[in-house]
Amino acid sequence: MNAKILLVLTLVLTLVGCATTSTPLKGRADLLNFLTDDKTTREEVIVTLGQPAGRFEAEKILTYRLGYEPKNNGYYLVEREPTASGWPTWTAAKFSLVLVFDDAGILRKHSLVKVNQ
Amino acid sequence: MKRILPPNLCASFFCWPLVCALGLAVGTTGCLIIPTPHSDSGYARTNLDRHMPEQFTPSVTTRQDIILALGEPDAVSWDERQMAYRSEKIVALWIVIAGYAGGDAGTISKNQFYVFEFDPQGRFQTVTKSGELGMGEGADEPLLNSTVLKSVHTNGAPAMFRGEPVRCEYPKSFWLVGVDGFRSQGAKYFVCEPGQLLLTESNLVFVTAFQFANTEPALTLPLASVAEARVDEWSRPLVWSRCRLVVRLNSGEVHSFEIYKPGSFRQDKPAVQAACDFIQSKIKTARTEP
Repeated sequence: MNAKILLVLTLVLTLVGCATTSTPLKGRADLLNFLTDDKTTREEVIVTLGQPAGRFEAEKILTYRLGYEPKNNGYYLVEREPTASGWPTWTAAKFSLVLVFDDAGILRKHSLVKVNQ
Repeated sequence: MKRILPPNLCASFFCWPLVCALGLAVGTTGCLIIPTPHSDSGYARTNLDRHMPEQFTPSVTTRQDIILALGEPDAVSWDERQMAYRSEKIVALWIVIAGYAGGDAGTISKNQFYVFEFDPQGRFQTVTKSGELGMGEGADEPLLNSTVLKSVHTNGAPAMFRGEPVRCEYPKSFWLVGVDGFRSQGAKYFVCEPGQLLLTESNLVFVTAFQFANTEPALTLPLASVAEARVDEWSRPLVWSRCRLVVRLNSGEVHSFEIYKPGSFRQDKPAVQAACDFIQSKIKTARTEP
């Protein structure tokens, strides 16, 4: 009887040891679907994506860093990854989203640039 | 003489500095350097190549066009007249085969910088390419502001902050928030924020290395609010002495700064003293004014 219990316990422990937990996917395939040139406003962008990683030309240009999840073709936001030297790395972020607004804060152009392979 | 490799491959694969470094290193330290085909390190951007600048036309292409094409720059000057993009290639492996560090190994990388310059209207003017060799692991990368971007001087004009010219600039500085020189408990071991310290007629400004230079500085202290500026020194036998600029405000808030010589690990004590003297002169002026 004891031997059976021992066998069952061993089997359970072995199976538990092999068990893996599935990590939730980081990316969202529809993350950028709301972006429409000549329609989306800067406020909508900041409400949806949060604070940008870069701001240029008095906020006429905003940039965001995006990671990519191949399993679901999803994008996720990544913060700027600075090093002590001041040069940022592009390890987590693979794409740079560039948004250009007009003086009224309406999105005029945007591009998604593949920065790191 | 018969060439083993074609000349262009020879030039890129076995560049002369590496060959010299190889001979010198093996002969003197027991360190072996093995050149490798150039490959992206994976840490920096990979969307740059030597033909990239050809797509941009001087006086026609705008800053906007370049950001749309290449993505967020890696650095920008305070006035956005310069933008830098960086790639990093592994060019060699180093292996220590003798001595205390025997068995250690790492990579040697080459940073490639493309610095774009713009006119006041944001039209692209020129692009310059430069490169620097660096140890891939365990060593300092070239510092952003001191080597690549002339971020505080563009076209010879002094940098301005809130309408005032910058009087003193210290591009390799460290900021210690709430640390009173070496008097605070454990002050010698506090982690510092790297960046650059700037002094104008009425402000002390610190721009961290982690922020774009065109954004609001991480720290702005009006000199009118400074109660005390002093230099604190700390020294022990057999250890390099260290000094810090300590700035205490009327409110009791305190900040310390360390200043280093650009491109060096040595502290710049004369610069610390000069910064202190400058601040003290402004405090005295403020106190004597009616």
